[in-house]
Amino acid sequence: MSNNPYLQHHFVDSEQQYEASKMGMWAFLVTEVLTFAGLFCAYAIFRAWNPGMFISANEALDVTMGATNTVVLITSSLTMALAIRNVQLNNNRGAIINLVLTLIFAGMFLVIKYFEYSHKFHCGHLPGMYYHPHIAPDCVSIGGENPHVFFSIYFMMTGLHGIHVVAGMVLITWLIIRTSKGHFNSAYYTPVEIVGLFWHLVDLVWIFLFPLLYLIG
Amino acid sequence: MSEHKHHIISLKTYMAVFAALLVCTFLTILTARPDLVPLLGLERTFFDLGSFNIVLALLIASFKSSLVLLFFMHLYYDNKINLAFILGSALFLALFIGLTMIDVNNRQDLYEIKGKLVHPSASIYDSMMDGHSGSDH
Repeated sequence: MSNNPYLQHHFVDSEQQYEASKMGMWAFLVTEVLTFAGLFCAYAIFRAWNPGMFISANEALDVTMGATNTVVLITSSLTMALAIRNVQLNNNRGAIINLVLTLIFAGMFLVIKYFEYSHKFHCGHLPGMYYHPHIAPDCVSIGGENPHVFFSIYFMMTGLHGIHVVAGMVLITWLIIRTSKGHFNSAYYTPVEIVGLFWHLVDLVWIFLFPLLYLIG
Repeated sequence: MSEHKHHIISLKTYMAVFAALLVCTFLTILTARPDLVPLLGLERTFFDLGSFNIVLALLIASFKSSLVLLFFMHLYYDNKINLAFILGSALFLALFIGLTMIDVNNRQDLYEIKGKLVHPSASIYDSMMDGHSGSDH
């Protein structure tokens, strides 16, 4: 095996460089978990204080769209994992196909999210002082105290998650470009592995967001 | 230069994990949608555990995330330090939310306190400006 052109001089070998990069990424993922932890904590506090309102406000969310998005994200996680597997097997074409599929699923997720958000905007189900519910046949009327807080939490959690999806799409696009230039092979694929870890974290957060926000009651 | 072989997970394993994730997603939907349960030929109340629905939903979500972490994120085959990192974050997440919930649920044993109405335009800046919390009673 020829020397890895990406090996930096301060590492003993490619393996040490790969392990160091990956451990750094896991440290970053820990900070990501703790970022979302603050929002999950706010969710837990307000749900404990306003249980009836959470059940009522939950009916304003579309379970079918949420469930579809769950399946879309899980499938995108699979294609991301398969992209890494293809790079490990030196199958460049397979890797590009799986990365493009991942990007398409990520886009589908955002399109479905767009339809959900526009319905919330249409019904005035907005966070904090922007909450002004409309009386309309296609809008659920929400009972209980502090419904605007539910939507503050909903938009903050799904919004921060959505920003992560967009960041993931940028990173996956970068991987597609580099893979098509033939930068990666079984001896060097650290960026694919690292972006893969990030993408799976996005899926992990959604695995908890979906039952907590959409499946109350 | 040391040529190290990373473990390559078989296609079969990936597909089995994917199938398990889809089945768990379906189960978690059933906990919240009892109207779908009769489609499986089961009693409507089969998945209805009342207030333990949230516990069941979180258990399923934890199982799903374990599958993603161990196989899609390769932790099962990986350097165990990375597993220690993520278990550490899970521990601190549990401490953070667990201790907060003990406080939220038990403080009324000490004195009268309950969830208040939050003024829709309340913001952290209001409470900093006029020296009291931005909540109405």
